[in-house]
Amino acid sequence: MSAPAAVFELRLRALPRFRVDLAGVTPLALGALGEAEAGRVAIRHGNEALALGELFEIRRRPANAPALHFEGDLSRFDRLAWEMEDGEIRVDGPVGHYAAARLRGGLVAVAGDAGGFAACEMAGGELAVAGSVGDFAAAALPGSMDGMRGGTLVVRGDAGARFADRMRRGTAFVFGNAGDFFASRLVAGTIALGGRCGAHPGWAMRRGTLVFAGETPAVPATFVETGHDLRVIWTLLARDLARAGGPFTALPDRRVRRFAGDIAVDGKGEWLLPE
Amino acid sequence: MSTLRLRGGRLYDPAHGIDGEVCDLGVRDGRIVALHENEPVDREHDVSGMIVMAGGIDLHSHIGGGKVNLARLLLPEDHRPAPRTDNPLELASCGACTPGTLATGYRYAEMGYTAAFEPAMALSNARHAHMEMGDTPILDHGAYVMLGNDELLLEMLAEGGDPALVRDYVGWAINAARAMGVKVVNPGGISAFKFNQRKLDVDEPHVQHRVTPRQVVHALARALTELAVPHPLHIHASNLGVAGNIASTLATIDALEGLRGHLTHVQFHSYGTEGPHKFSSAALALVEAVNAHPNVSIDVGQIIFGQTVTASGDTMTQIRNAALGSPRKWVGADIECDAGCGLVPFRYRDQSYVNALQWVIGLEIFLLANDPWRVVLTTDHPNGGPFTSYPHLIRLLMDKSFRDEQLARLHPEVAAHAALREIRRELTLYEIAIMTRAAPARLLGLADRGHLGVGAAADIAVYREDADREYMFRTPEYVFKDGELVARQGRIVATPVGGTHFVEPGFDGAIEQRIARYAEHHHALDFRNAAIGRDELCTCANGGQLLVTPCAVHGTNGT
Ligand SMILES: [Zn+2]
Ligand SMILES: [Zn+2]
Repeated sequence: MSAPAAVFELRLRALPRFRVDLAGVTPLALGALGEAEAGRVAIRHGNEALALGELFEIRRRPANAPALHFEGDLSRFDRLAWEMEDGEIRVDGPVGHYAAARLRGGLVAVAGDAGGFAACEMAGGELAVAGSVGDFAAAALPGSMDGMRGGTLVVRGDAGARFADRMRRGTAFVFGNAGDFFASRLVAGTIALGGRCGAHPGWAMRRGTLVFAGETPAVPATFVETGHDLRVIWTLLARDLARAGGPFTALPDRRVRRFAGDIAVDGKGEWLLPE
Repeated sequence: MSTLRLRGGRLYDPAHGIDGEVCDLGVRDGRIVALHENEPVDREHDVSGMIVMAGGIDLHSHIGGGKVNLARLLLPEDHRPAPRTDNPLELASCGACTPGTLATGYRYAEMGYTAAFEPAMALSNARHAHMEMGDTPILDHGAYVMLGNDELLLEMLAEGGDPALVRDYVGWAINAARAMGVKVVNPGGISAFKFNQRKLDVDEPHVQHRVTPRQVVHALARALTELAVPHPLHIHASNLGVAGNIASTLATIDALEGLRGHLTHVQFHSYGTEGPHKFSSAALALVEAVNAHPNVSIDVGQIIFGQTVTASGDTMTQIRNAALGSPRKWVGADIECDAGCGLVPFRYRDQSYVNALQWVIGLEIFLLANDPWRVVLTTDHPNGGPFTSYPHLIRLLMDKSFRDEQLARLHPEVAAHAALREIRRELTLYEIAIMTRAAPARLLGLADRGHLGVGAAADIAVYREDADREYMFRTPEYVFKDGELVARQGRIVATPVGGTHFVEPGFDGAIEQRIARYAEHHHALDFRNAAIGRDELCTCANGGQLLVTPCAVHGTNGT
């Protein structure tokens, strides 16, 4: 990068009246700008355009890597890090919908909750949410054929319904509980769940791996036990997942049963149920 | 009373043989009138050097009804790049190949079109179609009711097809649905599909009813002739999209036995089986047949490269096409066993041999046909491409060098061998005015639309002369609807409610007993609710004008 990198600190002045669209406000986009210029960047607030500086107190300091640090309640701010390619965004509170949706690279860390469609259609990079996420996290936008297709999603709280619907690559962790249709229509990728899940987990999943580290769900009729010797692959996978910590720490010490499904569709997906 | 004068424009009004004459145009209370040169007017626009035509009329565009709405539901991603207009008159509406009702009205009007007709209204879903079109601002609209795959008609034909019975049934259906005409889609084929037939040639019997598409086409064309419905039978012929289907198309023309018929989206029905890919242009054969049959008119259904969605009543075809969908998803439906639909998203690619040839075939038909009064400009929106591509299509037809540039980019085998390369013809403004206004108005029987004569509705488009015909037709300087300025330089300035066109052919009411008996046994919808009353139509149509076209233009009234 030719321009010197910078960290922008953006402190929310007051909760906006309407929803705000943060698409385009990325570390790389602001990186080349000065403090005042960054304050003039136009964003959508409801049906009107607004300057970024009207909503945030902005401070810039030089740094080695481009980053944005948001302070305040961003629960009315949607599309944080939308299609972001690189850099780092940290939010010290909650954010709105589509957080890190279509993310391609870089790191996004949210200290509070995230709304619906977090990390949906994410292709690379990492989203870490310390709180919970709404429905359709790691899933597809309405109409799209593919959900998350790369990168890592870590949710330390709970996930809503349809978590990872149509996901096709990447790794996702939910430390808490997940809602109904957990990993429905999964095409590929690995998902580890620390708590329990709602109805119809793995519904119509074609391939991919679900690891249920918490409460063992009832196995539907369209999943069958395979009886394979899994010792080698499980040693590798469990060790890898254990690095996420929390409910996954003890995985390498547990033995595991494997089920294949959903045989109502392709049936090449797997459930790994540690004992 | 309000008056308007357009001063000094060049008029293209083929209905009166006016070909670029410089002439003032007067309007009083929404109608074209003769104003004395010195008569004071409320508003006057200097349009000297500009081109003045009647408002465009699209006689085949899928703008209302169940399948249009299903297409929107199937492709939410088409609505993501919402154009953020700064025009406070435009309410939020978006979509490119599946535009919302509001966007449909805005986009048509801003390119100078003032009427559009939904070609495939299901009888049992007519209310929905009218409501959706009623929600479409500015445009006048109407629809053709689909018949020819409904069990009752096939039953009647199986019993011998008493022409009086068929006529009265068709007359009842047109009135009940408040239709402007009748469309037959894959005659008998959609029904045959439900009896496990996967294709139905023109002389192949339906396995259940033992009725052929030839009989269906002829019976409906005869009924419409006897009912004196101005718009001829709107025919979506058998074997849409299939290589070699030119044989079915010619057989369908033959089935008319001289009765009037309008072959729609003929591009999709003009395929041969020659060449290394067993897929070739049969445009010449089609055009020769059309030229030789003055009872036949066509619209083209030109394809335009890019993303669209095919929306058709032809379930049989759409199930075959589902595997070619891009993105790969689709919806099919059937209502009351009288009609259905299939929606398959599709991306036409210029590097695909088949798509490139389809593009060529459409243009060949436009350019080879010798009577523009029987050729209407359409893309079969959204099947061949969205209606917003009309300005581009017009430039392709009017500008040989532009056409050659586009042709050179296509799949190399098509670019190298297409007969289109040798066609020098460039359509004139006069011919474009015929194909986009005058001819569709005449084919629909609209006496006071599609022309600029005294007494006509003041639906007027004024274009600033530009060598780039695409730019010129995309952004008219002024568009008037019933004398009201609705668009200025491509920007909507008023959004009046459009009117509903329909016909009311007479028929013998005794037929209702039979229809009621059938409905009682087979339909979910109560027969007593089948017909849309005038007051109800008015509500459906958002309070717009009810525009009845009389049914005695071409023959005697059916009653
Ligand atoms: Zn059709
Ligand atoms: Zn059509």
